[in-house]
Amino acid sequence: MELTESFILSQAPNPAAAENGRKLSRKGSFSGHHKDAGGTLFWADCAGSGKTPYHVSIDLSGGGDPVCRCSCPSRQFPCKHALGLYFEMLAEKDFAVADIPQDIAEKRQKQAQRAEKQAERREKAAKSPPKPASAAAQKKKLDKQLQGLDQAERMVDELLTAGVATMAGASAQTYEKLAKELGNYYLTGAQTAFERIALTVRSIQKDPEQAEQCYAQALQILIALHSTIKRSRAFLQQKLDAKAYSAEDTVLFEAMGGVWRLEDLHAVGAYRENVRLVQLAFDVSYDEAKREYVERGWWIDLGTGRIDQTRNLRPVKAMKYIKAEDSRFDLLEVPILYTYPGEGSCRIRWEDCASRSITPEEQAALPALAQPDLAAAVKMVKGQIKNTLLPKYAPVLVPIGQLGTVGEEFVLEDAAGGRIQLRDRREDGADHASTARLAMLPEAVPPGSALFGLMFYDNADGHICLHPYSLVTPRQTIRLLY
Amino acid sequence: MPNLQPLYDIKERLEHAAIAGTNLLSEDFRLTRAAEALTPLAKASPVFAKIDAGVRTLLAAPPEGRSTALLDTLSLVDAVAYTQGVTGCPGDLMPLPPGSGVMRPLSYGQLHPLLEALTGTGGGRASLVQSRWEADPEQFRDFRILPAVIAGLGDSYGGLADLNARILTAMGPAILPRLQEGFDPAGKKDMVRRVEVIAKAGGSSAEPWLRQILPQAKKDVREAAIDALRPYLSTQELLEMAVTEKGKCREAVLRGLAQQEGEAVKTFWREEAQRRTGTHEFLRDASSSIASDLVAEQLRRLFETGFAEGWPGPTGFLQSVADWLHAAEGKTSPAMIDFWRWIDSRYDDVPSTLNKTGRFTDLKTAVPTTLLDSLLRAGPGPVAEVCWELYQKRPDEPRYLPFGFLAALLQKPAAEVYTLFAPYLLLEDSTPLHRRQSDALLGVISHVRWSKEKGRQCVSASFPVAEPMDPRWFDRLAQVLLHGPVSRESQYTALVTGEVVEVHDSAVLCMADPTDPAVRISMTSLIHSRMTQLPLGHYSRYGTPWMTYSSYLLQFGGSLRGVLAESMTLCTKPIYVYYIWKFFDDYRDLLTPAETADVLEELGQGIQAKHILVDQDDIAEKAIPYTIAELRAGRAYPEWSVWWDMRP
Repeated sequence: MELTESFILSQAPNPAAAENGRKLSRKGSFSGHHKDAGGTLFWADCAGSGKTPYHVSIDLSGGGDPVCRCSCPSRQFPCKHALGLYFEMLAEKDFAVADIPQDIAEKRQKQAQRAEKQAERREKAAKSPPKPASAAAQKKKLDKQLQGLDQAERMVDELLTAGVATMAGASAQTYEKLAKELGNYYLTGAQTAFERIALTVRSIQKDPEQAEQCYAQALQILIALHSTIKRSRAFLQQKLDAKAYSAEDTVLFEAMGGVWRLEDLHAVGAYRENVRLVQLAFDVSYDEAKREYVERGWWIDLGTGRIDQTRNLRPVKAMKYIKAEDSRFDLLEVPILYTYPGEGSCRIRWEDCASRSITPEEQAALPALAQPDLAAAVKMVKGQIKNTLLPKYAPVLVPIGQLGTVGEEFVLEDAAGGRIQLRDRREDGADHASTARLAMLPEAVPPGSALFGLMFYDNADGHICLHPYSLVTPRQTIRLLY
Repeated sequence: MPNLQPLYDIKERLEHAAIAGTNLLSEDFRLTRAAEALTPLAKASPVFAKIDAGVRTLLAAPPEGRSTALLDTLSLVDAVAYTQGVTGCPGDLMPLPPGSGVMRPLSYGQLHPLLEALTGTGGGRASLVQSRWEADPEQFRDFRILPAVIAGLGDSYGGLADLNARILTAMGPAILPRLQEGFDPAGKKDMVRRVEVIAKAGGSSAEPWLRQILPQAKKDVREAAIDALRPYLSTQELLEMAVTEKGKCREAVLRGLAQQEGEAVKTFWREEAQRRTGTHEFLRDASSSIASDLVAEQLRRLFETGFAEGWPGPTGFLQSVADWLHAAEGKTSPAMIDFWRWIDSRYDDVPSTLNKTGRFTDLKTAVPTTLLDSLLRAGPGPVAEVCWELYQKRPDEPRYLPFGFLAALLQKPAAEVYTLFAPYLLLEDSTPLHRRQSDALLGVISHVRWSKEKGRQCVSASFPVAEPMDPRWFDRLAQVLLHGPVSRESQYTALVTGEVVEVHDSAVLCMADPTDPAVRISMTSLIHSRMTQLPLGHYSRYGTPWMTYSSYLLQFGGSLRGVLAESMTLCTKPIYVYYIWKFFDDYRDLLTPAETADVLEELGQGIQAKHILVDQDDIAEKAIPYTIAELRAGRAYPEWSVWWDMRP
């Protein structure tokens, strides 16, 4: 493991904890710096508000997954004291070599035993696959879901018969109530769709001048919901008929509100091995309907050039218990990369990974992973966005011939002379605005660079545009956002 | 490429049908017409044929099947519309010129809170920006942050806008192109700040740009531009602008003219003073000899009018005299010095009177006070010389003593100053004149303070005295303050305890050199006395200001042993236990652990015997012995939380 500031920030549960840790290091709160002879354990005392200092240690014996220990009562993990100790290590403070303290040696031993047991369990599980859940229960659930789809269809039908415009006169609570009802049918996807409709009702009531825009949004939600209902019904019926109740490698599972577990993904073969990932961009948005923050990282697979996304979901109610994600500038070596079913850019997850700095050669090779030209990228994106179940944008890395302006518009031109307008996607909000930052790029774009962004269809004028996120040059990745 | 308008028309009509409701579908003749227009496309392409079929199914569907048919068709139309989305942008492509920002590898966790603080609303933003600036000023050059800092010049919270201005100014001339980009000469406060930042960051290199924007600049921006251009505008330009500019812009021009020299400028100001009131405001801060001469001229004219026509004169006359006197502070031209001599010769005729509005304008007091203030602003030089000259003429007159004493400190050897002025300080009661002299001298010592950096006392914090003050002063001052007939005056200290201390004590202790052994003895004797006696008069109800005098005692190398506990017994109100902890925490650098332990032991005994009143003696009774034990065991003075956790 290579210790970098970026790595420390990635370990912090939130930016404030990292900043507090840095402050502790800066003001000299640490004393008694020690490390073991092998350099796998670092420990020190950190002055706190109490009379006795906290005993902090960082155990690197686990490779890429360090174990932080601290005697403080904080529920954040790692706490600011452990993060502070990371900063002490980064600052190359003088750590005297000493024997590993008894308590830590014991904890290490216990941890090794736990890991051993876990490995045994895994091995056992691999040999004998888990017992499937009761077929009767599964059948009951599918029946219930089918009933729910009928219910959702009735709701859509009623809304369209009366007209979407009647939403203006309805109460948002009506739709919230409908959404709640769908919760009884294991259809959280449809439930969220109705919550989004309730939100558009609130928006109309708040600002009647925005009604047209809200109707269009609601209609998009209804189209997607209708499509989900239709395809899900066929899918569920087929499963019922075939008496096949296990999770399937289909995007519908998630669209209906299913939640993938890593073992399920493993079971359906949705994983890749030994993948090298580099993050191209990172952003955070708030999903009001689900009342959660979505921390999204866009990653490129150095082996295949495939671009996927990580999504860290932090519901407002549980924010402090879920570690916040942050931008990553290092390269991740992932032994098993789980990929959610779907087309185009899929959600990815992993359990373990090792991080290291990206080498100049790897960086130089990044732009070459772009689409061959703009036309190919546009074709690929069109193919994705026409699918009603997929988002109306797709991440792409496109080669840059030239970046410039035509009148007021920012334009990317590829080597073949194909052009695309660069625009901010309005739906993402002002905090995602990045196009204008192209005018502030510190230096001219070097030859052989590529632009990463989200390609989308702009309803306003029927143009396919690109919302630029990062400029990938052979020497560095310049993030226009985060 | 086929004409796709029918596709977009049908999309629009279908969306309209969804919004209006499928109930009304049969009455929608526009949808029918749009479906007809689609027919030629349907013949040309299978996908359009599919849409055409979908529309027909929809139009023929029974009411209960319309919603499904509508959404099916809309899904298809949308998908086709996406596939028909156009790219490209005809026209000449202008390459992007390199920007002026830099790229720092800042993560979301580092960038987002800062951007939110710079662009958001609510409290706590300025402190976050300030701390980030102090920790890493370079990150503000990042091309993602810089625009937010520039936009933040117009932040609704003025404190943050000013901080942004300081951040940008510190970036130097390199920031100029970014600030000049998108500049609005008719803008508001944000543009005013831009002008100020450009002028400060760019220095003389900003002059051409400032001259360039001046013709278009309006209102506040214009005023700021003129202010910024002042050092570069010629006298002739300023004189011309004084005719053409109006309001605040003219005032900016006048501020520029106040710094200019020359006969034309003098004539201008003379006319200006005759035509308008308020001219004194522009000349008040001006350092030119012309400004000084003009103020002297005006003062002499006003006083002569007063002497000739009688006081208080017409409405506003006395106020005008007071204003021009105020403008005379720090002025040093020969004409000004002559004025002080002249007014001294006519001092008996200077009135102490009421003006017509009933407001008291005591010119008899204002004249010597202004001369003293003038000396405090000008320091050594002609004003000090005239002060010394006037004092020498009437050395017994109390009004000359303050500026005579300060002028002597600035110009004369220390021993001579002591010999001349120390006798004015009374050790025992005497005649009213002598008491007035003593009070006058004590009243001026607050303007003299010890400066550690300069190694001697300074007048008005700026001008070092000719020689460090004679140490004998401090013994005499201590005796005078303890036993002399001093007019008592007290003030609240800035400490959290809100203690009341003698004004003269504070002045003398701030004037004394804490490194001089002789001075230390005199001052510690004064402090000991103050700590072990109740204040006189009605101030006794506030009790002994133990914390203030203890801190002085430590500064002068004294020991708190045997003193602090006694001082606390004289406190009239219970002492907060937190103040006790805080005092020893604040002075842990000046107190040895052994002394702290000894003093705490004395306090502990006093608290136990109820001689010292403490608001939370239950904490004190546990925390003090614990702290003594910790200190004697060689461990650190504990944190407050340790004391606090000892409450029952």
